[in-house]
Amino acid sequence: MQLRIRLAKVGLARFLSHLDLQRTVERGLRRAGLPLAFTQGFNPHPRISYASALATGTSSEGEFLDVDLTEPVDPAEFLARANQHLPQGVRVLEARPAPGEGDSLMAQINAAAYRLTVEGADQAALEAAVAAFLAAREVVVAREGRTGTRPVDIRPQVYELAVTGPGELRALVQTGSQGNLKPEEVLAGLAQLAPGLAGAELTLTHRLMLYRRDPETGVLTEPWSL
Amino acid sequence: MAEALRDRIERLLPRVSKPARYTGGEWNAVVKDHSKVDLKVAWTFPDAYEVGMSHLGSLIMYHQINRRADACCERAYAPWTDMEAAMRAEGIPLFTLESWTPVSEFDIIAFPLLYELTYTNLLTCLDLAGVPLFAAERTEAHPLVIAGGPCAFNCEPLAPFLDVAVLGDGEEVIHQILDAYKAWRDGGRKDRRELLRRLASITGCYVPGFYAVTYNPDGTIKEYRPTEPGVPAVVDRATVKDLDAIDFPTRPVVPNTQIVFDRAQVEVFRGCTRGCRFCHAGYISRPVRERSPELVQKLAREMVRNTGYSELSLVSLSTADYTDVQSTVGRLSDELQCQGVNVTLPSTRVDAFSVAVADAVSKVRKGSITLAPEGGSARIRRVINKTVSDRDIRDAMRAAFRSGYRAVKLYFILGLPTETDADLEAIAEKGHWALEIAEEELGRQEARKVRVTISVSVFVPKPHTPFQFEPQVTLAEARRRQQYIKRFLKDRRIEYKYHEADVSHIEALLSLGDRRVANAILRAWQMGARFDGWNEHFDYNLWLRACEEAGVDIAFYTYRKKGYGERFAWDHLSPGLSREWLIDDHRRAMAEVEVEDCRWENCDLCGVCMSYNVLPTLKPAGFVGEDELAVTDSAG
Ligand code: SF4
Repeated sequence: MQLRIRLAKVGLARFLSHLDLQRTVERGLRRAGLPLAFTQGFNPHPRISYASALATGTSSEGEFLDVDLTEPVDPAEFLARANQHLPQGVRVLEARPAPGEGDSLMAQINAAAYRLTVEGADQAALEAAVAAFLAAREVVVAREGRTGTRPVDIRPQVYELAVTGPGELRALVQTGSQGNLKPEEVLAGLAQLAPGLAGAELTLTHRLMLYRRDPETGVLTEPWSL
Repeated sequence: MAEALRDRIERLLPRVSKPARYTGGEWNAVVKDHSKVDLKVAWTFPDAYEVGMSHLGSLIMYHQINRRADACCERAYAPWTDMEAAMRAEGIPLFTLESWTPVSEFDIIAFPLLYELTYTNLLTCLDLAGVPLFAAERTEAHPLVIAGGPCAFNCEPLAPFLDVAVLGDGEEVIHQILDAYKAWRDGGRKDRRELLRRLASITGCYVPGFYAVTYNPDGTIKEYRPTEPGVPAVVDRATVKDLDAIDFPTRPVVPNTQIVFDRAQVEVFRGCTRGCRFCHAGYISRPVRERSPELVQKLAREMVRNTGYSELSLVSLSTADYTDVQSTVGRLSDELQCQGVNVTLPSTRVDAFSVAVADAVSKVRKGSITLAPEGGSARIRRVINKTVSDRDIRDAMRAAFRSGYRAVKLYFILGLPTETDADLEAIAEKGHWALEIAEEELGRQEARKVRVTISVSVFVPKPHTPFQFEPQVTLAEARRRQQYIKRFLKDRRIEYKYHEADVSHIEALLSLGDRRVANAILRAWQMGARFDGWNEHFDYNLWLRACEEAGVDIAFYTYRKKGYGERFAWDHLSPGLSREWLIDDHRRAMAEVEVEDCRWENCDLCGVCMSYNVLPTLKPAGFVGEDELAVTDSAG
């Protein structure tokens, strides 16, 4: 049986790397005595697959993973037992039976929603920058890659962007194998469009949710139905 | 206060490397309400989190202190250089991971001393805590600064910085220390000297400030003289006689982030009497004291259940020597396999038996197997008493290839007493043996895939060993010998690794140093020495300058052959060995005569058992009744 899990990584646990999070969740589920299915071979490890890697320092309430179990476990019981054995800041928010036999979550997820907290930004400038960003046909920022920095147009990778409060933004951006937009790049793009944002700093990045976004229609599907 | 400090620290974390080192919040961390405990201990590891969290002794002591209702123990680690800079810039003091409390607010700061090259980090920790570096400058308002661990047996280079050093096994003595501290404080916390006097009367506790040292005109030590009435001329070590009788932590803190030994550890025995003459640990922790196999199994089960680790390691100085090793390992392996847990043994002897044991547990992918002949030739192995024959080495290699290993790592020490170029050639020869045997066992085709690593470190003479009288080879000579070995290693399948000789040279200075070396440590730290045990940070030239400015002649401590009559800086810190025996054993080394292991053969009268009224304790299966050890359910 396979369960699909929605996980939160909040507070100081946001400083865990993706590998740290995987290690921590695995140990928690082992302690909880859940009937994990292991891979075959000399070095067996539990079959747990993550939808997407989360950067160190980013908190989240929208991490998704599929956990293979050797016998059925009631999702509510899974949630309760796992949470009793996970350390501070790592929480199972929801568990549901994984639907069907589709592609892996990793292959299907292509959009992520973030809440961004910006400090040192003039609010009016922030609003102006967002308006300019949405109106722009092209926003070129320097992207750091393995081989150096190169200019990229990030505008097509930003699907939604809005000011939601003082120094607070909500963004829906591209993620996954087709292209991955970093929240810092959104701020870099905004800073180019408004002089009042020069000293602005992204102090908190929080992932809200992951989606499958239909490239034609823009319709969003939550991982539960994938 | 703690909340405000936490917020300030949190703001630094996005800017530093590996921030998970500083966040705490790990599973099984013990967080107590400070208002409900009498005594607070900050267990401060003078190295990075990932090293400190791997140290079994620290997990043991954390548990020992926290099991008391009247005390709490919280952890702090030396911050990495980027974090140290950030903390200094923001005026943030050294803090504990459990409660974000400044270390200076604890009653006791305890430093484990495992490695000399962490000494400068110890100063960083004190300084960041805002505690005066010198014991003499601390008042009743400051925490008591104590240190323990292997290096405590010559803590003289740290003497001015420590209030108390603790020699030997910590599990029992820590409670005496805490009780004495409480009694002193309840008596009005009057005179700090009064506290130190009380502590100095506890077996295992050394108060450096209560001893005056005088020197001979040639710079050697003339005398150590106690300056307080009732302070012992020789400080004895604390010794746990029966490991089964002391509590072992089966609920250790489980890190969230990668550490060096990321696995559950169960200690199967303490001490080792194989008598390898270079090995400090073998002399300061005599005799062998085993934990019973039934208890080991029970502890292992609880440990796995309470931690969720996927690997369990049975640890000791040489686990393949554990009396019941095969059946213990076999049973645990079978039992834990179905939970996806691998059982491993860290250190292995060099013979076919140990390979068989390693193989029995190694359900994991056959990676590499490590063998440590230590000395290249049979002759030098007699000098160091590594009782391994050439035949043993070949058998071990054969067994390794037969059981599927394709990579063999061989560890050697260079610069051993009496070493000649022929001994060095013999090191290289072992690499070629491995390849020959691989070809015999696997055929030419398959043997092409074999990888052999020859890893060579530089000998550091250690206090309390028969080699304490020996000099270290000079830096230039060590480098020549490293290159000399290289000449004989031409096959692509052999990888040759050697440790930086200059690191070992400073390690020797700090191992063999006396109180006068403290100035060099202080100076080096002031000049920026940090994490000296890490290659990317170690700066030999900085140490040279520091020693020069402090008037410390490194060669005096490291390159000098010492007479049997010389008074050493560590002679009053006793692991229980008799001087006569050490001299005898040194003579035997020079005569290439081996000694037997006293756990199986006759007592060689090294002195420890008589000094501390302890006996070698082997515990075959059935030593303890199974029902006495019924597994209690301690989950949740
Ligand atoms: S006194 Fe004898 S039995 Fe005890 S450790 Fe020394 S040699 Fe071994």
